[in-house]
Amino acid sequence: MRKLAVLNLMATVVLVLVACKGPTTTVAPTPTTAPTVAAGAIKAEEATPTPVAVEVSRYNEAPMLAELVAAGKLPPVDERLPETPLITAPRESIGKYGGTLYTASWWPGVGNVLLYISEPPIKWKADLTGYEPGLAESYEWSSDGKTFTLHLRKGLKWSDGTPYTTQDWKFWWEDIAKNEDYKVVSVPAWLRNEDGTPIDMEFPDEYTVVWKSKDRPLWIDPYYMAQGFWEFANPMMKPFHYLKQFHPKYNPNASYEDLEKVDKWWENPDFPCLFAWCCHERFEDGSRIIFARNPYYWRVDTEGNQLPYIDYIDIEIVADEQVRLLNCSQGKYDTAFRICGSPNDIPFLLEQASSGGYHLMKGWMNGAGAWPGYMVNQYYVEGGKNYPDDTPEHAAEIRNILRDKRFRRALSIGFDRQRIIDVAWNGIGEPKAATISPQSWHFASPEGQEVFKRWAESYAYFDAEEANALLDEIGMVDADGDGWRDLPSGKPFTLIIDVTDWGGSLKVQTDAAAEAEVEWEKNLKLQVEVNNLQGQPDVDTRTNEGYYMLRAAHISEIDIWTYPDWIFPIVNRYMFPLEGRWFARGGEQCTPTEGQPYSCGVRPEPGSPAARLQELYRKGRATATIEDRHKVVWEAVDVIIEEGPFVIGVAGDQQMPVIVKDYMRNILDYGVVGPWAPATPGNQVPAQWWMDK
Amino acid sequence: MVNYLLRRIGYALIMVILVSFVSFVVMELPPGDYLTQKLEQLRARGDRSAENRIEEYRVRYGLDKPFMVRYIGWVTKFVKGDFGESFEYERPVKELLGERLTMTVILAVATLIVTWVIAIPLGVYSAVHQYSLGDQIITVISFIGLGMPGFLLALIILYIAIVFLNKEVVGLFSQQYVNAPWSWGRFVDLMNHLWVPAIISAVTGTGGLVRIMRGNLLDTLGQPFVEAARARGLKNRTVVWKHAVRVAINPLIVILGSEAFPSIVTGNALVSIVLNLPTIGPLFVDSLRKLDMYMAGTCIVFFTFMLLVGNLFADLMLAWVDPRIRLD
Repeated sequence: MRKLAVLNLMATVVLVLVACKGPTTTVAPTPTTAPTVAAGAIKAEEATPTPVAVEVSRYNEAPMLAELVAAGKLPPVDERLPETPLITAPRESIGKYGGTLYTASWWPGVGNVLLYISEPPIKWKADLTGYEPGLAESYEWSSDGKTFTLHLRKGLKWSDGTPYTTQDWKFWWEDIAKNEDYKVVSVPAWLRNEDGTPIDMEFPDEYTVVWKSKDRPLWIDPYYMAQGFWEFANPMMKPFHYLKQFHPKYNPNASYEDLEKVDKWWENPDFPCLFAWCCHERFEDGSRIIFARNPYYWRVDTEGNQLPYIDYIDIEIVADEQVRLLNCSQGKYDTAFRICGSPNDIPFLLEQASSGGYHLMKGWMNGAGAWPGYMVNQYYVEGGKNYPDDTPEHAAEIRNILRDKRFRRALSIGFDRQRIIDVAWNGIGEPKAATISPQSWHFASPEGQEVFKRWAESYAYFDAEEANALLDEIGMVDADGDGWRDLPSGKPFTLIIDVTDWGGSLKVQTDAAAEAEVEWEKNLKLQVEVNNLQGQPDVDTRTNEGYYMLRAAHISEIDIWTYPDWIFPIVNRYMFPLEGRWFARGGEQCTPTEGQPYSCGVRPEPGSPAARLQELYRKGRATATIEDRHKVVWEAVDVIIEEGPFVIGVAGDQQMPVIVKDYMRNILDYGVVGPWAPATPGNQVPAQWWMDK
Repeated sequence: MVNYLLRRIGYALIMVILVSFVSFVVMELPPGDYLTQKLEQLRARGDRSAENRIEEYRVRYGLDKPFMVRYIGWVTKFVKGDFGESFEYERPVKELLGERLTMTVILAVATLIVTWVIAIPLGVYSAVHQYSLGDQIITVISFIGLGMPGFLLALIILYIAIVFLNKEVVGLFSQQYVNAPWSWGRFVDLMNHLWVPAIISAVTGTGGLVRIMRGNLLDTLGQPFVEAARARGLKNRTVVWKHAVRVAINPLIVILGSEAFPSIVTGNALVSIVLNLPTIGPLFVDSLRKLDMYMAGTCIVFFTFMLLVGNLFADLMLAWVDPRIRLD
């Protein structure tokens, strides 16, 4: 009601303004002229609704909005759209307005749906080969890369009709992000200078935002805005005109707690948003959230119809995975991304497809470079209590083994991948070495494909004899005659694999690990123990403190520059937890905490893989063009092939159960759901989806 | 009597405080806290700024403070009716529980009535007709009910309903009625969904009760006072219901106090999770898993409270039903 009242007020204001101007050209709601761009010309492979320059004289709108306009509660569509709306070529056909899209989520924050409701200033292209402007009109860098300029769309408005300008950006930057009293949002790491201070942000006019770093190029950093709702939508979309009433700086009676309560665009119906759908209603018991179309949305199709086509998105929260799967099989959801189980559930879903009135989108993959893959800790230290004699000396000996590439290669060629795939995956997926996503844009070119192929094939064969020879070579022989290989010093050795449900399925991970245990014990005479840590709060501490030996992981990433962890050891996690911590804490500048020997991490030895990869990361960040940065990734892959593997990959590139109802139109049958950063399917403009029923 | 009541209430208060303390300690024992889990979740999906924010969250939730400070702070607020904030939902615990309380109570009371109305007559029948065909059938079914976990039965029923009968049974309402105001159609829709939890609780809940009722009644029927009643020429029905059952039902009253009462607040958590019922049970289970301390602590305090009230209630009932029992 409150929203309606605001709209009403707005409409009145607009009407008064219009009346003052005297006679105006009103736009009759008659059919538009034919489009100059034929929708059929867009090929399925391209699928990118790149902006097309087309002369559109007038616009159409959804019936539900036309009613409001007719009742005088909303200004006409021409006044609601920005000066130059973004013309979006629908993927297959011009749609019909209407309908409610039913879908589900498993958590109250409905993140899997926010991925396709959010639309940041810069977004991923539909085919994941690069970035393009979305909410912003354009952007550019200075020649040294230290200055980045973002141009907003003139006349673009919030969902309540207030113009979206640099005032909102300034409010976010000065009063929210840099404001230390407001704890929820802070300046992200990618908007900081090399020395850790925030960069400078200038707002020369209403539509221009300028980022300036004093000491480093910002070639990569703007792309962070394209990565999921947690980078732009949640922390950066701050409507000044609405939030100021809750901000202590503008309202002395307000507190930051008040601000925090309303500062949730996805569940606060009063919060104006910039996307195709904004929050409309949230059920108090946390069981449902409904989004409704934004009357001021800034995209139109090639016939001048204001998007989105679909009126509402209705999300129910269903925590239990099996129940969601049953609901999916019943055709309860119009689109189901990331909610219908794992690849192993595909046969069941296919069986129910015709009675449920849905079909499986075969082009949607997990994007897994390894699922599972076993990370090998590259700086194993004492403290994990993995055996009774937990001393630094004992740990050092195990560390040397884990750091020895011959040991890791022995593991990699010491098991039959296809067997594990048959056991854990019912045969789904490719046997391969651990990589990042096969769909990654770094490897899209023919040359890149070549590099990727080399990586995926490195030490991914099965040869027990060669593996045993490698282990003999490092001196891991059966010293005490119990039938198991021991450490070179003669101490007994048990290789421990930490397992969780990483990737989404605990059963897949435990089945695979059990089979890997059998294979390694049988083929290599290595004693192996699977340590199921699902639900244990210390599982990540074990990883980040360097206490684990092997850990079962799921790897998928499209852009390694915005998520470097799987290749570049620059943060405290994954295969190089302590060497990564050293980089993250600023290396030599870090002061160690008393009593914690590894609180500053460990400096990588010169020439070691960690040192080389960190060097390449610095090089990549300073590289100006996208193509050259891809080449830096390839160099890093060469280091991994030469010194690795650091993750013992088993399988990858599984198909995912993404299902849509048969009447859904314009949904591209290509994508990945494993990595969240590319915000799929948000990258393909869901505003142009429609329901043919 | 008044003395007795006051003493029991006093014990109950001490008990609630002890239990809340122990539950906090237990949640404190595993390494890490809610935020270490949350941080890793955020980082896993690619949130590069999570690390900056997480320390701020730690301060906000007071997780940087020593254990006793946090506990005492929570208890003082609890007494004033502020149960703290749920980390997971970022909302007050009171609101979250309040929204789900009605549905939880309705479901639990309905379940209670259904199970008891079925269980007691069946138990009596199978004791009186020991080793008859009816007794054998009831015994088999109640052992299945005892042995099968409710959530498994729920999954099986869902699977059959959805795959073979193509009925929509998850939750309490279908899509078109979730938002609708109350009407005849909505009521029918609710009934169409409610039979699933009803069957599950009937099968799993009655099994145990039937067995206990049967066993106790068999014991009682062999006792001299029953013989005496029969010898006085009373009708069989009177002997069984007025003399034997009244004595044999004692353990069931204890169960009513110790199991049924607390379940009014929790419901059957696992079954609720599977059926996606908006009750308190799933919230509680989830909060324990995620170390969402204030939410879990509040739930535990209420369960303990209900348990103690239930026990007191059971004792009073026993004294009333069985004249041999004295309260002092």
